[in-house]
Amino acid sequence: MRRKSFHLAPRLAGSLQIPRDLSSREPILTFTGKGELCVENYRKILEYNQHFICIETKTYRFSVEGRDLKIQYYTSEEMKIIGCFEKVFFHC
Amino acid sequence: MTGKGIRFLRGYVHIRLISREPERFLYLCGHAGVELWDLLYGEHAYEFCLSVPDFFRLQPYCRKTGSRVLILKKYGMPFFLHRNRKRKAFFLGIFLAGALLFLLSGFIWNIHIEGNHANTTREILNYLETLKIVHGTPKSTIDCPGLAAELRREFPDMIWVSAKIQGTRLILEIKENEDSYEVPSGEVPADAEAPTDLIAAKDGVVQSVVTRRGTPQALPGSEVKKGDVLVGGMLEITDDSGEVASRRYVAADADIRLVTQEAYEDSFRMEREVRVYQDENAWYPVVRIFDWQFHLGFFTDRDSPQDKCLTLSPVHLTENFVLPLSLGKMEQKIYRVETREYSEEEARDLARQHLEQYCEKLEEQDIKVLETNVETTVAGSTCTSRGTLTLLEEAVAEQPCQVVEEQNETKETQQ
Repeated sequence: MRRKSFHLAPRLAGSLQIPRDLSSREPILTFTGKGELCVENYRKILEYNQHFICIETKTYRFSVEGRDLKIQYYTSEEMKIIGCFEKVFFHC
Repeated sequence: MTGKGIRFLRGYVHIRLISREPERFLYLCGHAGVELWDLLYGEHAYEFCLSVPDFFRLQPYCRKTGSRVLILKKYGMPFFLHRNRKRKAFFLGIFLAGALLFLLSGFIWNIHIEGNHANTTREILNYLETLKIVHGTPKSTIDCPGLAAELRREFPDMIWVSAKIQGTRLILEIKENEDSYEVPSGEVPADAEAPTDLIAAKDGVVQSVVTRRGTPQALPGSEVKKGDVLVGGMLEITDDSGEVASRRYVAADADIRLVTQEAYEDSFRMEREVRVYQDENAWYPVVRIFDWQFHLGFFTDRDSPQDKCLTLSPVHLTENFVLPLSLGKMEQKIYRVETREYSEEEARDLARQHLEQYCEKLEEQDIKVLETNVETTVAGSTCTSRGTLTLLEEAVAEQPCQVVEEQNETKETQQ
Protein backbone atom coordinates (compact mmCIF):
# COMPACT_ATOMS: atom_id res chain seq x y z
CA MET A 1 0.00 0.00 0.00
CA ARG A 2 2.78 2.34 0.96
CA ARG A 3 4.68 1.58 -2.22
CA LYS A 4 1.63 2.43 -4.32
CA SER A 5 1.25 5.84 -2.67
CA PHE A 6 4.93 6.53 -3.30
CA HIS A 7 4.37 6.14 -7.02
CA LEU A 8 1.08 7.94 -6.92
CA ALA A 9 2.48 11.25 -5.70
CA PRO A 10 4.64 12.08 -8.74
CA ARG A 11 1.88 10.95 -11.11
CA LEU A 12 -0.63 13.15 -9.31
CA ALA A 13 1.79 16.09 -9.38
CA GLY A 14 2.37 15.49 -13.09
CA SER A 15 -1.32 15.43 -13.87
CA LEU A 16 -1.80 18.65 -11.88
CA GLN A 17 1.15 20.16 -13.78
CA ILE A 18 3.00 21.01 -10.58
CA PRO A 19 6.69 21.60 -11.30
CA ARG A 20 8.88 18.74 -10.14
CA ASP A 21 11.14 21.00 -8.10
CA LEU A 22 8.11 21.76 -5.92
CA SER A 23 6.46 18.36 -5.86
CA SER A 24 9.55 16.12 -5.58
CA ARG A 25 12.16 18.67 -4.49
CA GLU A 26 14.16 17.92 -7.61
CA PRO A 27 17.26 20.10 -7.72
CA ILE A 28 17.50 22.94 -10.24
CA LEU A 29 20.95 23.50 -11.69
CA THR A 30 21.36 26.67 -13.71
CA PHE A 31 24.64 27.02 -15.58
CA THR A 32 25.64 30.37 -16.97
CA GLY A 33 28.52 29.74 -19.31
CA LYS A 34 31.18 27.54 -17.82
CA GLY A 35 31.94 29.74 -14.85
CA GLU A 36 28.70 30.09 -12.89
CA LEU A 37 26.34 27.52 -11.44
CA CYS A 38 23.27 28.23 -9.38
CA VAL A 39 21.95 25.27 -7.36
CA GLU A 40 18.50 25.17 -5.79
CA ASN A 41 16.87 22.44 -3.71
CA TYR A 42 20.10 20.83 -2.50
CA ARG A 43 20.61 19.06 0.77
CA LYS A 44 24.20 19.63 1.76
CA ILE A 45 27.76 20.00 0.67
CA LEU A 46 29.57 16.71 0.93
CA GLU A 47 32.99 17.92 -0.04
CA TYR A 48 34.47 21.20 -1.09
CA ASN A 49 37.87 22.49 -2.04
CA GLN A 50 39.31 24.71 -4.75
CA HIS A 51 39.22 21.98 -7.40
CA PHE A 52 36.25 19.88 -6.44
CA ILE A 53 32.81 20.29 -4.99
CA CYS A 54 30.32 17.52 -4.32
CA ILE A 55 26.70 18.32 -3.46
CA GLU A 56 23.95 16.03 -2.30
CA THR A 57 20.38 16.54 -3.37
CA LYS A 58 17.27 14.56 -2.49
CA THR A 59 17.51 12.18 -5.42
CA TYR A 60 21.20 12.12 -6.40
CA ARG A 61 24.61 13.58 -5.87
CA PHE A 62 26.56 15.60 -8.33
CA SER A 63 30.06 16.97 -8.38
CA VAL A 64 31.87 19.68 -10.26
CA GLU A 65 35.56 19.64 -11.04
CA GLY A 66 37.42 22.74 -12.03
CA ARG A 67 39.76 25.51 -10.93
CA ASP A 68 39.36 28.31 -8.37
CA LEU A 69 35.95 27.12 -7.25
CA LYS A 70 34.29 29.50 -4.87
CA ILE A 71 30.85 29.58 -3.28
CA GLN A 72 29.63 33.09 -3.87
CA TYR A 73 26.69 32.72 -1.50
CA TYR A 74 25.19 29.89 0.49
CA THR A 75 21.73 29.82 2.02
CA SER A 76 19.37 27.04 2.99
CA GLU A 77 17.56 27.34 -0.35
CA GLU A 78 20.15 28.25 -2.89
CA MET A 79 23.88 28.49 -3.54
CA LYS A 80 25.96 29.90 -6.33
CA ILE A 81 29.29 28.44 -7.34
CA ILE A 82 31.69 30.37 -9.49
CA GLY A 83 35.03 29.40 -10.96
CA CYS A 84 36.25 27.62 -14.06
CA PHE A 85 34.32 24.37 -14.48
CA GLU A 86 35.90 21.46 -16.29
CA LYS A 87 33.76 18.42 -15.52
CA VAL A 88 30.32 17.79 -14.06
CA PHE A 89 29.40 14.31 -12.75
CA PHE A 90 26.01 12.97 -11.72
CA HIS A 91 26.10 10.03 -9.26
CA CYS A 92 22.74 8.26 -9.38
CA MET B 1 19.15 49.43 -1.66
CA THR B 2 21.35 46.65 -3.00
CA GLY B 3 22.34 43.56 -1.02
CA LYS B 4 25.85 44.89 -0.59
CA GLY B 5 24.54 48.16 0.82
CA ILE B 6 22.33 46.38 3.35
CA ARG B 7 25.22 44.12 4.38
CA PHE B 8 27.43 47.17 4.88
CA LEU B 9 24.79 48.89 7.00
CA ARG B 10 24.23 45.81 9.15
CA GLY B 11 27.92 44.98 9.37
CA TYR B 12 29.60 41.68 8.57
CA VAL B 13 32.72 39.71 9.43
CA HIS B 14 35.17 37.74 7.34
CA ILE B 15 36.05 34.60 9.27
CA ARG B 16 38.18 31.50 8.94
CA LEU B 17 36.72 28.16 9.94
CA ILE B 18 39.07 25.54 11.33
CA SER B 19 37.09 22.38 11.69
CA ARG B 20 37.25 18.59 11.65
CA GLU B 21 33.89 18.43 9.91
CA PRO B 22 33.53 21.57 7.83
CA GLU B 23 30.84 20.06 5.57
CA ARG B 24 28.68 19.28 8.60
CA PHE B 25 29.23 22.79 9.90
CA LEU B 26 28.07 24.22 6.58
CA TYR B 27 25.08 21.89 6.54
CA LEU B 28 24.06 23.04 10.02
CA CYS B 29 24.48 26.67 8.99
CA GLY B 30 22.36 26.16 5.89
CA HIS B 31 19.73 24.30 7.86
CA ALA B 32 19.55 27.11 10.44
CA GLY B 33 19.20 29.76 7.74
CA VAL B 34 22.60 31.34 8.31
CA GLU B 35 23.55 33.11 5.12
CA LEU B 36 27.18 32.77 4.05
CA TRP B 37 28.90 34.35 1.11
CA ASP B 38 32.30 34.39 -0.54
CA LEU B 39 32.94 30.86 0.72
CA LEU B 40 36.47 29.87 -0.26
CA TYR B 41 38.70 26.96 0.54
CA GLY B 42 42.26 27.99 1.28
CA GLU B 43 45.17 26.99 3.51
CA HIS B 44 43.33 23.86 4.75
CA ALA B 45 40.51 25.96 6.09
CA TYR B 46 37.34 27.59 4.89
CA GLU B 47 36.99 31.34 4.78
CA PHE B 48 33.70 33.09 4.37
CA CYS B 49 31.69 36.17 5.31
CA LEU B 50 28.54 36.35 7.38
CA SER B 51 26.52 39.05 9.10
CA VAL B 52 27.16 40.04 12.69
CA PRO B 53 23.84 38.66 14.06
CA ASP B 54 24.50 35.34 12.29
CA PHE B 55 28.02 35.24 13.69
CA PHE B 56 26.63 35.15 17.23
CA ARG B 57 24.47 32.14 16.29
CA LEU B 58 27.48 30.02 15.32
CA GLN B 59 28.49 28.91 18.82
CA PRO B 60 26.30 25.74 19.08
CA TYR B 61 27.37 24.58 15.61
CA CYS B 62 31.02 25.09 16.48
CA ARG B 63 30.55 23.03 19.60
CA LYS B 64 28.77 20.23 17.72
CA THR B 65 31.39 19.98 14.99
CA GLY B 66 34.45 20.81 17.07
CA SER B 67 35.17 23.92 15.00
CA ARG B 68 36.93 27.13 15.78
CA VAL B 69 36.29 30.41 14.03
CA LEU B 70 38.79 33.17 13.64
CA ILE B 71 37.74 36.68 12.72
CA LEU B 72 39.98 37.95 9.94
CA LYS B 73 38.35 41.31 9.32
CA LYS B 74 35.31 43.32 10.29
CA TYR B 75 33.38 45.37 7.77
CA GLY B 76 30.38 47.66 7.84
CA MET B 77 28.81 50.65 9.46
CA PRO B 78 28.61 49.37 13.10
CA PHE B 79 32.37 48.75 13.15
CA PHE B 80 33.07 52.05 11.41
CA LEU B 81 31.01 53.96 13.94
CA HIS B 82 32.64 52.08 16.79
CA ARG B 83 36.11 52.89 15.49
CA ASN B 84 35.22 56.57 15.19
CA ARG B 85 33.20 56.86 18.37
CA LYS B 86 35.54 59.46 19.83
CA ARG B 87 35.38 61.77 16.82
CA LYS B 88 32.49 63.93 17.97
CA ALA B 89 32.89 66.50 15.19
CA PHE B 90 32.45 63.75 12.63
CA PHE B 91 29.09 62.70 14.06
CA LEU B 92 28.11 66.32 14.47
CA GLY B 93 28.93 66.83 10.78
CA ILE B 94 26.76 63.86 9.78
CA PHE B 95 23.93 65.19 11.91
CA LEU B 96 24.28 68.71 10.51
CA ALA B 97 24.43 67.41 6.96
CA GLY B 98 21.23 65.45 7.54
CA ALA B 99 19.57 68.45 9.16
CA LEU B 100 20.68 70.71 6.32
CA LEU B 101 19.37 68.26 3.76
CA PHE B 102 16.05 68.09 5.56
CA LEU B 103 15.88 71.88 5.84
CA LEU B 104 16.82 72.54 2.21
CA SER B 105 14.38 69.96 0.91
CA GLY B 106 11.61 72.35 1.95
CA PHE B 107 12.56 74.86 -0.77
CA ILE B 108 12.26 75.02 -4.53
CA TRP B 109 15.67 74.61 -6.17
CA ASN B 110 14.71 73.98 -9.75
CA ILE B 111 12.01 75.60 -11.85
CA HIS B 112 11.38 73.54 -14.96
CA ILE B 113 9.23 74.99 -17.73
CA GLU B 114 8.20 72.95 -20.74
CA GLY B 115 5.86 73.37 -23.69
CA ASN B 116 6.42 77.12 -24.10
CA HIS B 117 7.22 78.42 -27.58
CA ALA B 118 5.70 81.88 -27.94
CA ASN B 119 6.60 82.93 -24.38
CA THR B 120 10.24 82.48 -23.53
CA THR B 121 11.42 80.81 -20.36
CA ARG B 122 13.03 84.06 -19.28
CA GLU B 123 9.71 85.95 -19.64
CA ILE B 124 7.91 83.36 -17.53
CA LEU B 125 10.68 83.33 -14.92
CA ASN B 126 10.51 87.13 -14.73
CA TYR B 127 6.78 86.96 -14.18
CA LEU B 128 7.24 84.31 -11.49
CA GLU B 129 9.70 86.67 -9.84
CA THR B 130 6.97 89.30 -9.58
CA LEU B 131 4.86 86.66 -7.81
CA LYS B 132 7.83 86.12 -5.45
CA ILE B 133 8.43 82.61 -6.78
CA VAL B 134 12.15 82.23 -7.33
CA HIS B 135 14.77 79.59 -6.69
CA GLY B 136 14.90 79.21 -2.92
CA THR B 137 11.23 79.96 -2.26
CA PRO B 138 9.73 77.71 0.45
CA LYS B 139 7.54 75.01 -1.05
CA SER B 140 4.79 75.67 1.48
CA THR B 141 4.22 79.20 0.13
CA ILE B 142 3.48 78.05 -3.41
CA ASP B 143 -0.13 77.51 -4.36
CA CYS B 144 0.05 75.44 -7.54
CA PRO B 145 -3.58 75.86 -8.76
CA GLY B 146 -3.37 79.59 -8.03
CA LEU B 147 -0.07 79.85 -9.86
CA ALA B 148 -1.50 78.10 -12.92
CA ALA B 149 -4.47 80.50 -12.92
CA GLU B 150 -2.16 83.52 -12.58
CA LEU B 151 -0.06 82.35 -15.52
CA ARG B 152 -3.14 81.86 -17.70
CA ARG B 153 -4.33 85.34 -16.76
CA GLU B 154 -0.97 86.97 -17.49
CA PHE B 155 -0.31 85.08 -20.74
CA PRO B 156 -3.62 84.86 -22.66
CA ASP B 157 -2.16 82.59 -25.34
CA MET B 158 -1.58 79.85 -22.74
CA ILE B 159 -4.61 77.62 -23.02
CA TRP B 160 -3.53 75.07 -20.41
CA VAL B 161 -1.06 75.31 -17.54
CA SER B 162 -0.16 72.64 -15.02
CA ALA B 163 1.95 73.51 -11.99
CA LYS B 164 3.21 70.79 -9.71
CA ILE B 165 5.95 70.30 -7.16
CA GLN B 166 8.05 67.16 -7.36
CA GLY B 167 10.72 66.95 -4.69
CA THR B 168 12.44 70.30 -4.84
CA ARG B 169 11.35 70.96 -8.45
CA LEU B 170 8.55 73.23 -9.56
CA ILE B 171 7.37 71.86 -12.88
CA LEU B 172 5.29 74.07 -15.16
CA GLU B 173 3.77 72.31 -18.15
CA ILE B 174 2.31 74.75 -20.63
CA LYS B 175 0.19 74.35 -23.72
CA GLU B 176 -0.02 77.40 -25.94
CA ASN B 177 -2.63 78.29 -28.51
CA GLU B 178 -0.67 77.99 -31.73
CA ASP B 179 -3.47 79.32 -33.93
CA SER B 180 -3.95 82.61 -32.12
CA TYR B 181 -2.96 85.87 -33.83
CA GLU B 182 -2.22 88.79 -31.64
CA VAL B 183 -2.87 92.24 -33.09
CA PRO B 184 0.42 94.10 -32.63
CA SER B 185 0.20 97.15 -30.45
CA GLY B 186 -0.37 100.29 -32.50
CA GLU B 187 -2.22 98.46 -35.26
CA VAL B 188 -5.83 99.51 -35.29
CA PRO B 189 -8.45 97.04 -36.44
CA ALA B 190 -9.44 97.67 -40.05
CA ASP B 191 -13.05 98.51 -39.22
CA ALA B 192 -11.98 101.49 -37.15
CA GLU B 193 -9.85 103.00 -39.92
CA ALA B 194 -10.70 105.95 -42.14
CA PRO B 195 -11.49 105.15 -45.79
CA THR B 196 -8.34 104.61 -47.81
CA ASP B 197 -7.22 103.63 -51.29
CA LEU B 198 -4.38 101.28 -52.07
CA ILE B 199 -1.94 102.81 -54.54
CA ALA B 200 1.17 101.49 -56.28
CA ALA B 201 4.36 102.37 -54.43
CA LYS B 202 6.50 101.60 -57.50
CA ASP B 203 6.20 101.31 -61.27
CA GLY B 204 5.46 97.77 -62.34
CA VAL B 205 3.12 95.17 -63.75
CA VAL B 206 0.28 93.79 -61.67
CA GLN B 207 0.72 90.06 -61.23
CA SER B 208 -2.24 89.27 -58.98
CA VAL B 209 -4.97 91.07 -57.09
CA VAL B 210 -6.96 89.45 -54.29
CA THR B 211 -9.41 92.04 -52.98
CA ARG B 212 -10.97 91.68 -49.58
CA ARG B 213 -12.49 95.16 -49.29
CA GLY B 214 -12.81 97.94 -51.85
CA THR B 215 -13.10 98.20 -55.64
CA PRO B 216 -10.22 96.79 -57.70
CA GLN B 217 -9.10 99.25 -60.38
CA ALA B 218 -6.14 97.38 -61.83
CA LEU B 219 -6.32 93.97 -63.46
CA PRO B 220 -3.56 91.35 -63.50
CA GLY B 221 -1.19 92.03 -66.38
CA SER B 222 -1.80 95.77 -66.47
CA GLU B 223 1.09 98.20 -66.19
CA VAL B 224 0.87 100.70 -63.36
CA LYS B 225 2.85 103.80 -62.47
CA LYS B 226 3.81 104.88 -59.00
CA GLY B 227 0.80 106.52 -57.35
CA ASP B 228 -1.87 104.79 -59.49
CA VAL B 229 -4.87 103.62 -57.50
CA LEU B 230 -4.99 99.84 -57.46
CA VAL B 231 -7.93 99.25 -55.13
CA GLY B 232 -10.28 102.12 -54.34
CA GLY B 233 -11.92 102.58 -50.99
CA MET B 234 -15.16 103.82 -52.54
CA LEU B 235 -17.94 101.28 -53.09
CA GLU B 236 -20.61 102.41 -55.56
CA ILE B 237 -24.01 100.89 -54.97
CA THR B 238 -26.10 100.91 -58.12
CA ASP B 239 -29.81 100.61 -58.54
CA ASP B 240 -31.70 98.43 -61.03
CA SER B 241 -31.07 100.86 -63.89
CA GLY B 242 -27.32 100.73 -63.30
CA GLU B 243 -27.00 104.23 -61.91
CA VAL B 244 -25.15 105.00 -58.75
CA ALA B 245 -27.65 105.09 -55.93
CA SER B 246 -25.24 105.69 -53.08
CA ARG B 247 -21.57 105.42 -52.15
CA ARG B 248 -19.91 103.77 -49.19
CA TYR B 249 -16.37 104.30 -48.13
CA VAL B 250 -14.14 101.63 -46.63
CA ALA B 251 -10.47 101.08 -45.91
CA ALA B 252 -9.36 99.15 -48.99
CA ASP B 253 -7.76 95.82 -48.18
CA ALA B 254 -6.18 93.51 -50.76
CA ASP B 255 -3.18 91.35 -51.57
CA ILE B 256 -1.58 92.89 -54.63
CA ARG B 257 1.63 91.55 -56.11
CA LEU B 258 3.57 93.72 -58.52
CA VAL B 259 6.44 92.74 -60.79
CA THR B 260 8.95 95.56 -60.45
CA GLN B 261 12.45 96.37 -61.63
CA GLU B 262 15.17 97.51 -59.26
CA ALA B 263 18.64 98.74 -60.07
CA TYR B 264 21.49 96.93 -58.36
CA GLU B 265 25.01 98.25 -57.89
CA ASP B 266 27.82 96.98 -55.72
CA SER B 267 31.50 97.72 -55.79
CA PHE B 268 34.50 96.95 -53.63
CA ARG B 269 38.23 97.44 -53.81
CA MET B 270 40.45 94.62 -54.98
CA GLU B 271 42.91 95.31 -52.20
CA ARG B 272 41.96 94.32 -48.71
CA GLU B 273 43.50 94.21 -45.30
CA VAL B 274 43.69 90.82 -43.69
CA ARG B 275 44.39 90.09 -40.04
CA VAL B 276 46.73 87.13 -39.62
CA TYR B 277 46.38 85.80 -36.09
CA GLN B 278 49.07 84.02 -34.14
CA ASP B 279 48.54 80.33 -33.52
CA GLU B 280 49.19 80.47 -29.79
CA ASN B 281 47.20 82.89 -27.70
CA ALA B 282 47.76 84.00 -24.14
CA TRP B 283 44.85 83.86 -21.71
CA TYR B 284 44.02 84.17 -18.06
CA PRO B 285 41.01 83.19 -15.98
CA VAL B 286 38.26 85.65 -15.12
CA VAL B 287 35.71 85.33 -12.33
CA ARG B 288 32.60 87.45 -12.20
CA ILE B 289 30.57 87.71 -8.99
CA PHE B 290 27.44 89.84 -9.31
CA ASP B 291 28.73 92.91 -11.20
CA TRP B 292 32.30 92.63 -10.01
CA GLN B 293 34.75 91.15 -12.44
CA PHE B 294 38.05 89.75 -11.18
CA HIS B 295 40.88 89.29 -13.66
CA LEU B 296 43.24 86.64 -12.33
CA GLY B 297 46.19 87.60 -14.51
CA PHE B 298 47.41 90.08 -17.11
CA PHE B 299 48.95 90.19 -20.58
CA THR B 300 52.61 91.06 -20.99
CA ASP B 301 52.32 92.22 -24.60
CA ARG B 302 50.12 95.31 -24.71
CA ASP B 303 51.59 97.13 -27.72
CA SER B 304 50.98 94.68 -30.57
CA PRO B 305 47.68 94.96 -32.45
CA GLN B 306 45.36 92.56 -30.75
CA ASP B 307 41.80 91.47 -30.14
CA LYS B 308 40.67 90.64 -26.65
CA CYS B 309 37.98 88.04 -26.29
CA LEU B 310 36.20 87.58 -22.98
CA THR B 311 34.19 84.37 -22.60
CA LEU B 312 32.06 83.95 -19.47
CA SER B 313 29.85 81.02 -18.59
CA PRO B 314 27.35 81.47 -15.76
CA VAL B 315 27.36 78.70 -13.18
CA HIS B 316 24.04 76.82 -13.08
CA LEU B 317 23.10 75.04 -9.89
CA THR B 318 20.09 73.51 -11.61
CA GLU B 319 18.53 73.92 -15.03
CA ASN B 320 17.18 77.47 -14.57
CA PHE B 321 18.86 78.36 -11.29
CA VAL B 322 21.73 80.57 -12.35
CA LEU B 323 24.12 81.59 -9.62
CA PRO B 324 25.48 85.14 -9.64
CA LEU B 325 28.84 83.64 -10.45
CA SER B 326 30.42 83.33 -13.88
CA LEU B 327 33.68 81.68 -14.79
CA GLY B 328 35.55 82.29 -17.97
CA LYS B 329 38.70 83.44 -19.62
CA MET B 330 40.14 86.51 -21.26
CA GLU B 331 41.94 85.57 -24.43
CA GLN B 332 44.42 87.74 -26.26
CA LYS B 333 44.60 87.28 -30.02
CA ILE B 334 47.61 89.04 -31.44
CA TYR B 335 47.58 89.67 -35.16
CA ARG B 336 49.47 91.41 -37.93
CA VAL B 337 47.79 93.25 -40.76
CA GLU B 338 48.64 92.18 -44.30
CA THR B 339 47.45 93.74 -47.53
CA ARG B 340 46.27 91.21 -50.09
CA GLU B 341 44.64 91.52 -53.46
CA TYR B 342 41.75 89.45 -54.76
CA SER B 343 42.33 87.46 -57.92
CA GLU B 344 39.73 88.08 -60.62
CA GLU B 345 38.05 84.77 -59.89
CA GLU B 346 37.92 85.51 -56.14
CA ALA B 347 36.51 88.96 -56.84
CA ARG B 348 33.75 87.55 -59.06
CA ASP B 349 32.94 84.94 -56.39
CA LEU B 350 32.75 87.66 -53.76
CA ALA B 351 30.53 89.82 -55.98
CA ARG B 352 28.23 86.82 -56.48
CA GLN B 353 28.14 86.25 -52.72
CA HIS B 354 27.19 89.90 -52.17
CA LEU B 355 24.37 89.55 -54.69
CA GLU B 356 23.13 86.33 -53.03
CA GLN B 357 23.21 88.02 -49.62
CA TYR B 358 21.23 90.95 -51.01
CA CYS B 359 18.67 88.57 -52.54
CA GLU B 360 18.37 86.68 -49.23
CA LYS B 361 17.75 89.98 -47.47
CA LEU B 362 14.97 90.74 -49.97
CA GLU B 363 13.46 87.28 -49.44
CA GLU B 364 13.38 87.96 -45.70
CA GLN B 365 11.27 91.04 -46.49
CA ASP B 366 8.83 88.81 -48.43
CA ILE B 367 10.12 90.06 -51.79
CA LYS B 368 10.67 87.32 -54.32
CA VAL B 369 13.55 87.71 -56.78
CA LEU B 370 12.30 86.51 -60.16
CA GLU B 371 15.32 87.33 -62.27
CA THR B 372 18.77 88.83 -61.86
CA ASN B 373 20.51 90.58 -64.71
CA VAL B 374 23.79 91.70 -63.17
CA GLU B 375 27.15 92.03 -64.85
CA THR B 376 30.42 92.05 -62.89
CA THR B 377 33.47 93.86 -64.21
CA VAL B 378 36.96 94.09 -62.77
CA ALA B 379 38.58 97.36 -63.76
CA GLY B 380 41.84 98.41 -62.16
CA SER B 381 41.59 98.24 -58.43
CA THR B 382 37.81 98.04 -58.25
CA CYS B 383 35.31 95.27 -58.84
CA THR B 384 31.86 96.58 -59.81
CA SER B 385 28.56 94.75 -60.23
CA ARG B 386 25.72 96.54 -62.03
CA GLY B 387 22.39 95.43 -63.31
CA THR B 388 18.70 95.10 -62.60
CA LEU B 389 16.68 92.74 -60.47
CA THR B 390 13.15 91.70 -61.37
CA LEU B 391 11.15 91.44 -58.16
CA LEU B 392 7.74 90.21 -57.18
CA GLU B 393 6.60 92.25 -54.23
CA GLU B 394 3.66 93.82 -52.53
CA ALA B 395 4.65 97.37 -53.45
CA VAL B 396 1.51 99.13 -52.34
CA ALA B 397 0.83 102.08 -50.09
CA GLU B 398 -2.27 103.57 -48.55
CA GLN B 399 -3.64 107.02 -49.21
CA PRO B 400 -6.82 108.68 -47.90
CA CYS B 401 -9.81 108.07 -50.09
CA GLN B 402 -11.38 111.09 -51.80
CA VAL B 403 -14.88 111.34 -50.37
CA VAL B 404 -17.46 112.77 -52.80
CA GLU B 405 -20.34 114.44 -51.02
CA GLU B 406 -23.70 113.19 -52.28
CA GLN B 407 -25.64 116.52 -52.04
CA ASN B 408 -23.09 118.61 -53.96
CA GLU B 409 -23.00 116.06 -56.67
CA THR B 410 -26.83 116.16 -56.96
CA LYS B 411 -26.82 119.93 -57.30
CA GLU B 412 -24.16 119.83 -59.96
CA THR B 413 -26.30 117.37 -61.93
CA GLN B 414 -29.35 119.65 -61.70
CA GLN B 415 -27.38 122.64 -62.97
